Amino acid sequence: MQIPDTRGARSVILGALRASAPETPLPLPELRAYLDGPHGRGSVGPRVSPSTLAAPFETAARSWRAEVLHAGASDWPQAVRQALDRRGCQRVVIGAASPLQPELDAALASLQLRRFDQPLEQWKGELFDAVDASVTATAGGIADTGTLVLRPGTDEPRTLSLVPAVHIAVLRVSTLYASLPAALRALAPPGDLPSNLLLISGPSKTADIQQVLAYGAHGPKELVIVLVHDSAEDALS
Amino acid sequence: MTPASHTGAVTESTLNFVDPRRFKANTQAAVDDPHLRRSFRSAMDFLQAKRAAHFGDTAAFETLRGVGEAIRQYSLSRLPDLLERLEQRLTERGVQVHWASTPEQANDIFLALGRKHGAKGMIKGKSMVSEEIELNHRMAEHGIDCLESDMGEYIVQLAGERPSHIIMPAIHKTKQQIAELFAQKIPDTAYTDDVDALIAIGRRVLRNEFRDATVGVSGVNFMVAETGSLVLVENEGNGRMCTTVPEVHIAITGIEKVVERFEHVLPLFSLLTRSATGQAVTTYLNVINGPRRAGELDGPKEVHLILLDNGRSQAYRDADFRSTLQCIRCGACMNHCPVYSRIGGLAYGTTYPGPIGAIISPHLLGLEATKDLPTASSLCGACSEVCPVRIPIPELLMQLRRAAKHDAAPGRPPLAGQGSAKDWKEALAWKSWAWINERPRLYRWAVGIGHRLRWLTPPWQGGWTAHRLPMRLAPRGLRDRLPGRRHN
Repeated sequence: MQIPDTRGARSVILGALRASAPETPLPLPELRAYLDGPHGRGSVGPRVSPSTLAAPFETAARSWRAEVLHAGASDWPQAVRQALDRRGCQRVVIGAASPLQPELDAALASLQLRRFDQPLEQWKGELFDAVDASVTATAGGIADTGTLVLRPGTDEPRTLSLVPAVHIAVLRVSTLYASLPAALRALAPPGDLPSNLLLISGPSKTADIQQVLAYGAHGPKELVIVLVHDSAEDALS
Repeated sequence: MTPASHTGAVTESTLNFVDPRRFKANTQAAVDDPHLRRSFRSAMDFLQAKRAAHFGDTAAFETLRGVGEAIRQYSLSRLPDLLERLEQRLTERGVQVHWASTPEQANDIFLALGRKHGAKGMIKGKSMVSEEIELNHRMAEHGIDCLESDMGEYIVQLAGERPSHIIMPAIHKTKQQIAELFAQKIPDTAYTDDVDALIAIGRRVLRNEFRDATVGVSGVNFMVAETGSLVLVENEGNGRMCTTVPEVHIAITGIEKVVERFEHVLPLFSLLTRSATGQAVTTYLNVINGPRRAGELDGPKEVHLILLDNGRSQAYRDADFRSTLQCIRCGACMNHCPVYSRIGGLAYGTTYPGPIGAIISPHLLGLEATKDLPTASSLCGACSEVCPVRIPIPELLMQLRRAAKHDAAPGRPPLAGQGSAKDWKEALAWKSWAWINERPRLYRWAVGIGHRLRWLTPPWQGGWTAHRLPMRLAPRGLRDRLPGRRHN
């Protein structure tokens, strides 16, 4: 069966819209009220100092039932390992070119470490059914909403933060932003969007049965954020 | 189905093919069902409270929704340009764009894509537009099974029903009903009404389906013309599964969902999640900028977008009705509607229920089938008060009521089904009323007769006396009771 040629429908639809579209479009909307508002902090003017954002980030992330662990610039791999051990996670997957290497390798040495190094379709069954946890880096975090920003790509595929039941995300304090628009302006400018940009706030959840909140609907049941206090300024405080 | 013989039947699969033409009968069945009334009342109270917790600061809400309204109105004012730009940018990113004027055309595209990839089934994320085209039904006719994977949609599909709310599709069901359904329909499943256990059962079944499906289907919350992005907002992760794991991802959405710039999505996202479920953000914001790129190890190899019109261009034609297309599908209008919260979503018999359903459905289905829906409102205005993009819903309801009863104004093209609620008896009554009102002497005389003959008033006055005392003229008219103003 041929894929239908829909150029006919296209010209009908666009023709109808053009015939009734206003002659002069409205002026570009003014976003200032949003950017200056409570959920736009730090998006206009200077960046809010990341070290002041660790505490609000933690509060917001916990409200989504993410676990937040604090670690130093050198001991974070141990924090990752402890989080895995506490849950009895043995089979762990990381990106083949994970930016967390090589530090992470040593800490996970005695576990069954699997690298995501072949196309998904070649080991789908294993990823879905024989992996306990994943560990990924993050592009940054949003303090206002306790949100992680992920830019999956060749180093860390998209499904790493989706399929395993436990997702451990390593977030550096130096990459914290105050608000959603501030973070996206810095981490995902329109000219540099990855094939899949993800904002993640807590583990997967649903309230579809009688409005009762249940975690682990389809994605990770648990999200652990290892917050790495990496900035010099932060280390002093 | 007669409502009287089916008390409580509104939650059963008998409502599978509810027809908006039978709206009044459906409504009766719904208000007679105490389970449904309880489910909706508690769900609406819950959602109203969650939303209110975020928008306690009225001034801040007004500011934010002013921005949301401006973005949607700007986008619509440039709609044809933005759609062309979107198509161009998506194509550059490797997304294949298809256009459909009608549900049939959209289904033909799905079918052709399914066959091309030898798909026996499709795994679906939440998409109201796919409900609009009856995708599941149409694909089943051709041997392709579509499986819903949003928990609420999955439950509703297992039960052979339709969603009763656009955000919480299974809102009308109790956990006990769901427990029975799972025990009955899912092999090797014992009865449990523990919500965590029920979700775990759904998770187990659906993960296998995500893993094995060739084609994933999703809706879209926002499209960005400048960047060629498809934005999906969700909590469960099934949307990410459907758009990430299968080799082919087919997205379908209405032509109105496009905005110009990525920064325009952010205030709308903020308004959407807070208005819908009272969340500052959802678990996931999934921004898809094309299929798997060279060197990437997952993500779909093909991404398709189907842009559906299905009557939207009719709404676009009229400067007033155009504001219907500002909608971002948060469901706040239904959560606050005194009619919806009493009859639930199924009674409407349309994909979109509640106030937004009453103003969009006439464009999608024509006024002939939907002429009763705009009357399902007390015009209290709660819907427009909470609408995050300020759609003047009561005004549009009034206009649609008028359009159902009258011909189009000269020089304006009629809506589909315009004038289909015309009733010659009603028209004659109004005409006579107008005629006699223009003749004061005759009017006074006739009213005088009326007062004297009030004892002849029939005790039975159709629908009015079903719930009320009969209407009767007073013994003396207003004029007689105001002696000082007797002669005007």
